[in-house]
Amino acid sequence: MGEMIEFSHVTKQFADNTAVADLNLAIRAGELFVLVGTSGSGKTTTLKMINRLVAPTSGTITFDGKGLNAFNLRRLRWDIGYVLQQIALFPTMTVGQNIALIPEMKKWPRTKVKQAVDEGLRSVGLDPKTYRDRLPSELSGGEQQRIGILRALVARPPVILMDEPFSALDPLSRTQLQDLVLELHARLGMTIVFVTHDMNEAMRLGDRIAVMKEGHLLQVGTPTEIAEAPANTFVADFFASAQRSPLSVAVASLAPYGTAVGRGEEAGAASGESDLQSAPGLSTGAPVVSGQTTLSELLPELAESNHVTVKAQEGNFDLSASAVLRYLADNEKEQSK
Amino acid sequence: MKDVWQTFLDQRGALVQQLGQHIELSLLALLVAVVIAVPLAIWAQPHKRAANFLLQLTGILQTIPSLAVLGLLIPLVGIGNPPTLIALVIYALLPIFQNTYVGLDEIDPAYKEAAEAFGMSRWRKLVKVELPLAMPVIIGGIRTAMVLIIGTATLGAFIGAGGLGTMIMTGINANIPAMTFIGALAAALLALAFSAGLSVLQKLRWRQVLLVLGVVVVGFGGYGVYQAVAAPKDEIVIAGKMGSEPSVLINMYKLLIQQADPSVQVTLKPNFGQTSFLYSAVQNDKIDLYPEFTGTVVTSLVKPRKAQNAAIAAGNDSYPIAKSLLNKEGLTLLTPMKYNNTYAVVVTQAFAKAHNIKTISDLARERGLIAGFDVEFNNRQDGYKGLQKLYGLSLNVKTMSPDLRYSVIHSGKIQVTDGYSTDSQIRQYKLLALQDDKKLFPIYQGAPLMKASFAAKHPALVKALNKLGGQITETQMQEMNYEVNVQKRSAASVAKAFLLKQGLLKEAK
Repeated sequence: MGEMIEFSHVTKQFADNTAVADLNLAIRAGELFVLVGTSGSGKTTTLKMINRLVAPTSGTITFDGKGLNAFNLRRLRWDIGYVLQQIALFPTMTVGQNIALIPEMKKWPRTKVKQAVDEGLRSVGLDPKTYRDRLPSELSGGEQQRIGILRALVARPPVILMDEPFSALDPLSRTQLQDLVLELHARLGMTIVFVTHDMNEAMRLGDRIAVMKEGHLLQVGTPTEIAEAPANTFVADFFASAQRSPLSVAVASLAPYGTAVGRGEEAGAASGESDLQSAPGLSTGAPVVSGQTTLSELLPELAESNHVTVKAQEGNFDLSASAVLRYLADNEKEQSK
Repeated sequence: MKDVWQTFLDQRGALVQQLGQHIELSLLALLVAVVIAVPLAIWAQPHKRAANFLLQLTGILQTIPSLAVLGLLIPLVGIGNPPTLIALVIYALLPIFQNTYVGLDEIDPAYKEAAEAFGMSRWRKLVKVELPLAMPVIIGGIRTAMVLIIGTATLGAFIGAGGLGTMIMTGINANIPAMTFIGALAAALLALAFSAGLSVLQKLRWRQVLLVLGVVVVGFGGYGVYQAVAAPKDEIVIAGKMGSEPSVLINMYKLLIQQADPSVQVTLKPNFGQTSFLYSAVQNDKIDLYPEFTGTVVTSLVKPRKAQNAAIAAGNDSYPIAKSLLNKEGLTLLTPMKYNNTYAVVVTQAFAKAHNIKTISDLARERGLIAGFDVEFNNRQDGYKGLQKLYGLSLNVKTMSPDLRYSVIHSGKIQVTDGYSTDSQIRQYKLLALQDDKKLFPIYQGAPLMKASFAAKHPALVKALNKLGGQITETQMQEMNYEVNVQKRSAASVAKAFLLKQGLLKEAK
């Protein structure tokens, strides 16, 4: 694989603060590359230097072998999709108009744009007829970000930048959208640069992961490499904290604390049901969550509905709030030993 | 209430016309203000300091009292629509500029970043993203401006721009509260209606807003073109001051001119404004002529020499002096009519008969009379002070507001009051204006005032208007004012009836 984006000795200085210091990094064509770090690590600044929203103070960045500044700025940006944390679908345009923005600027013929919009909507799991003419405000957060991703990739840019795209979403939508990104990446094979502060998300998505701290690149490697050979104690701790926290485990692993339910009784969609409907025994009334959801992501859901149905490969089970507390108590006992 | 309804029925033609003028003026001002303020606010977006300066400037402009703005504009752009339009635009700038600037400035930076990252051009970003997002705030500003404009536009009546202010002012001048009320109510309702319309616009999509604006602009353009094409070539514009008397006179002018030459198009602008506006309107060719008084010319419009002033004070005819001084300004005054519309000492007809009083000298013989005088009249040398000196008049004077004095003398609480010699109330309350036998009061005779060059170009018109020279007595004018003010007849019909009766106008076959 050739290098798609290459940073060499890139520094970005804001007033009296060095956001990125002497960064050397190569992102390969077709890989899903994750920049991970705490806030202030310089990961977002690094991302925004790729589509020139931020200009480096010194150093060079190449795109497909050519210096970034050699490109016409607007054409460069048409070739680099962008997904924002705030989603930022334009509220005055319909879903269809939002998706069609870049194809229209690229002067695609009308029929081709329309076709791309409809196909795109289907590819992210939304019915074109239902969604095309709706306004973004009529959509849930998860649906909005699906459109956000579609808007970025509809013109088939070779590179897509994603800036903490799922951090504002509920856990369920986040997992679903992570799956969507993995699926789209596998199918379309574009280069994705993905920024997150969540090590779990990084491990789940990244072909390779770059860990940053205070403007410095600490380590680049596959999830396995980082897990097995962290470059220093910060990386080790960052990685371990994500793994070790009792709240970061996938809820599937709480199966021993739950009560198994039959596959046929899966409830429809997750929603904040009243206590009455989700009373013990009526498992159909409880929200359904994926087994891959972490426990920390599940907590808000649980606080709302008191118990949930977990979909897991080993069999679905019902998990109540008291069961979770029991797990945490056991875990605490374990830790203090 | 019944009074209001009756006045409404009497005035509905005028109301519709003035409402039309008001809407035309307001919408045009709003459109101009939008065209100036919105692009300015867009330009100011990346220039913080310029934006602050503009905000301050438009804020300061708005604090200038509207009448002062009109007054300051008259020497620069004359009277009528232009100064009114400029004043209205000045007031509308702040809310539109401010809201557009703030609306654009407060857009969530995420949208701006997204637009930037998608490679939108500056123009595309503005039209597709920023303006649509700021639109509700911008329309809010336009709404504020609209209400402000409709209120302020009533002042246009002061300087001949017409509109609902005309009805309000006529009501005040003629002491018909119902008319003032109707004018004010119509202005308020108009503001509410426009505000409601704009609030609907606020909820519409960006494209629909553009569509509505487009229709308004095209409508205006079409109307403007229609007016330009339809405007007749040879048109004579005659204006008159506030009140029934000038309205009757200009209708007489029109009838006489059209009798002389039926092909001439005559446009009347009754209740056009105060003396100084009309005077500058003639000088600036906004109007061709208007009826003016000799006394007004020599006291307010031109500056007579000392000797001339002395002659006027001695009771000499002021017409030759007025005419010669006007000539130096390139203006002329045609032959004056007979009646003298000046201060008058007024008593009831019954009182005059009982005491055999016809002149002020006769009145001076009486003792112990109670008089109700206007404060100004009471203190003027050509008022009560002069009466005391010249006639030795001695009255027990109570000062009162001018609109009360006629009803008070009618009630019998006073025996003497002051007024103008052609006031309709003299006829209405069966009063008598005493003869000024020692000529204390200056002479105010009415005649058409116009540019000398205009008179030279239209000899037939001058001849037609001079037929009124020496015509119309004070009693006849009182009668006609009475017919218009009290009997609610139109000034046009009163004028026509009089001319026919005097044989000045031949009935058309």
